[in-house]
Amino acid sequence: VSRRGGLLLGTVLLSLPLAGCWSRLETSELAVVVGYGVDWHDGTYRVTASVLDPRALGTPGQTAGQPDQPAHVLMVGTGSTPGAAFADVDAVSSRRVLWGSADVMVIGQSLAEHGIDQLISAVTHDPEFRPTIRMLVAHGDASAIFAVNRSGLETSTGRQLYLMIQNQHRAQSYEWSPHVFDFVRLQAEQQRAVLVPGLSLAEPDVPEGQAYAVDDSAVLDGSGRLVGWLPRDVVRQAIWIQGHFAHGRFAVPCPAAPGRQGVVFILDGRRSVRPVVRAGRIVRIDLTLSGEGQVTEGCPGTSVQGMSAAASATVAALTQQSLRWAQSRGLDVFGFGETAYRYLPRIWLRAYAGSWPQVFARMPIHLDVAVRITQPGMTR
Amino acid sequence: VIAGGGARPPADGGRISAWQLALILVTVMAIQDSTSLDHWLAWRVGNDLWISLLLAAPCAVAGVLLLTALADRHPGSDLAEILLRTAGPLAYPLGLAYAGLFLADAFLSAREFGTLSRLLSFMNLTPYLVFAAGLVTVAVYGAWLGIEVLARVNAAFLLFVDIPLGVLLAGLSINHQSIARLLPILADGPAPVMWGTWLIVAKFGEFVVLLVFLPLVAEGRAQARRISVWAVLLVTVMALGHTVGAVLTFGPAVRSIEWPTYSQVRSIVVARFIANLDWVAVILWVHGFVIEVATFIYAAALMLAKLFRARSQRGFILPLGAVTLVASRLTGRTEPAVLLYRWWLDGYGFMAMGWLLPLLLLCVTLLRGQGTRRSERRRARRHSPEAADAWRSAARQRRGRNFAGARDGRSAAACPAPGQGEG
Repeated sequence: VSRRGGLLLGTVLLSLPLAGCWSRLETSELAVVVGYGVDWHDGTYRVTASVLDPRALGTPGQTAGQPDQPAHVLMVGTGSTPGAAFADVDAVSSRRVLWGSADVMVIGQSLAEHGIDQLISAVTHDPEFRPTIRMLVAHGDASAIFAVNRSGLETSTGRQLYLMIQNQHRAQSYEWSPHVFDFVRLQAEQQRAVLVPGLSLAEPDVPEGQAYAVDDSAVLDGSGRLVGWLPRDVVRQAIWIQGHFAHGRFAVPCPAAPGRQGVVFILDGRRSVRPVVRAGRIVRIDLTLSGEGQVTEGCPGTSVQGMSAAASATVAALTQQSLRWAQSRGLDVFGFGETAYRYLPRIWLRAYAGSWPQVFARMPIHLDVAVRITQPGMTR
Repeated sequence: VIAGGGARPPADGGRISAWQLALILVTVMAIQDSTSLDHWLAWRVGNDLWISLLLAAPCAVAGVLLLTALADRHPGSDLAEILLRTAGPLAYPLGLAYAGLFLADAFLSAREFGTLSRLLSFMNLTPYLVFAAGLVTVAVYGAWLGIEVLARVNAAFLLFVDIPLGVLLAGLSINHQSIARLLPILADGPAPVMWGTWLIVAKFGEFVVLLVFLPLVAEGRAQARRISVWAVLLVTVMALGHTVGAVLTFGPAVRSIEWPTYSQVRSIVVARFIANLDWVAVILWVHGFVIEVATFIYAAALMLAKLFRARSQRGFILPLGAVTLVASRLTGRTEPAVLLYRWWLDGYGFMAMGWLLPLLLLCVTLLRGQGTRRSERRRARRHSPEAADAWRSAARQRRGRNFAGARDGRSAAACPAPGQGEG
């Protein structure tokens, strides 16, 4: 038993000293990055890191710093590559910069237009970076986002952006922010354009707490270049077609009361995409969206069936807008090409592998929406 | 007497159960499955790798049956003794080649462990030698203690740590996975799948250590055969779990990811605030690589002890550990080189010496009629002093009876022939 115990102990102890001597990270010597932005101008990358300021953080029972001031400091580095710019931040910091703790990465518009492949390569190659960091694309410079000295309810800009984007998806499915591995996966799909939430500074007249707005989505093509912005009205439908819709409220025109609107809370949204083939060619894509709903603001004189039909019609109209936007630009943000490839690989490779954007732009899409209202609400 | 006698137990006197042997085989295979093998399969086979795994399983079962059939023909003999009995003048070169193969697996595993550990963001400044020296020290200690201790520690880790952690990680990954990412099937044709099947079957060639350890199994060969087949199936299920999991997580991007299973662990976020489960990977690596290195050092030491007729295998363990450490430092200084050497060792080395050479040895055994009851009796008479004494006393008795029978008028032919009845 003692010999067995000795080997067991040796094996367990082996994992302890390995992390102890050379690569130790003392908490008091760390600069904890909660988010960073990356810009590109005239061939130079600029990284703006939002680093948690431990001096401004309160302990339980104490008031933390100034209530309207974020508890972070900004560190800036520049370089000819993203990696060089990150290293430059390390060089100006008095503490070891912990990039792996960052929750959100904001990409400046000029960098997105230039292409983000090199940035993605840097953050996926280097093990110091977490591949689960969420991505946003800024209207304008990312550094301007972090320069705003307001962080709402949170301690730092990075934390606020991360929670805001998470909440946008969880509460209303307005946006879905891919993390870096998601982006890599989507980019590897066939002729796919990838949606990344767009971030802008809020209008000056909005209340103090709202510093930012996530209104639309940046569309990046297969090479990682910004090719357009998907308007907010249709982003949610694109997310639904992609399969990332969770739940959300939709304003629905009341069938029996013209000019008035009710509200339906749609849960458990599902989608089904099926390419239809005739004579060895894809002639149509059948798209079905379905979900269950609750009436949260009723329409007078309208039955449950009537509300179901109205909700279905509203979702169908919004979805058609989303489809039209994408088809008019030949940007397959929905992954229809990947679906066709998965189910019809031979046809895809023979006929569509190099020409899908053009084919997609002309492809008839048959839309079927079935929203079923299951709960009419708390009052009649 | 080495060449003809039964297996001399190792100096540590260890005996293991068939299940413990199977679990050692599972650990040895699973740690490679989740590191270098995953890398090759994801890169070269892509999302069809699950087909390769399913095709490889029956081939590996057939291979295990081949190994145990060879062992059945040489009851009580281990790999070195089988070589000495069947390979003639080639026995020593082949035995040394097997010891070299096991040693190569040990030092490449140590190198792989160091390479992987330096991938971790919190250990990337630690010198390589710290990882390798720590691993080899514990592995050598385990090999020194012997197969029994090694098997018990491995069983405890595998059943109570590794498998539960693996199941936990699989559960936490489900959120990011989609079964549709397995499609399309065979989009690149069958060639990559066949290549993957070849590599997995070759990798299963590591099961050739079965022949080294089989005489140490307490329950006997029949039970070991059954359990070894189960080991192949368990390895396949585990490999399907984490390898297919990587495809379900990364889809077509899996081809571009260097360490898919580890990357899968890195992609897990629990409850929005635990975003770093790398330590789980460290636990699995430490256990898996310690057992792998210890097992192969022990197997190499046993082979050398038998070949050189040493009293104990322990005299070889420390030198082999030192060679493992030095060779791991000198070999594969870059990560691609480590992976390439691993592919050479698995794809060619273990395919040739894990499957093809045992098949050849079995053919030679059958052609020479070794392993039949008659040949075994002949061998026992020739080499076992006790058996020879028993045979002589039986012969004396027979002679006495024949003499008495002839005196009573009975025929000598009515008496049992030597080797029958009391013989």
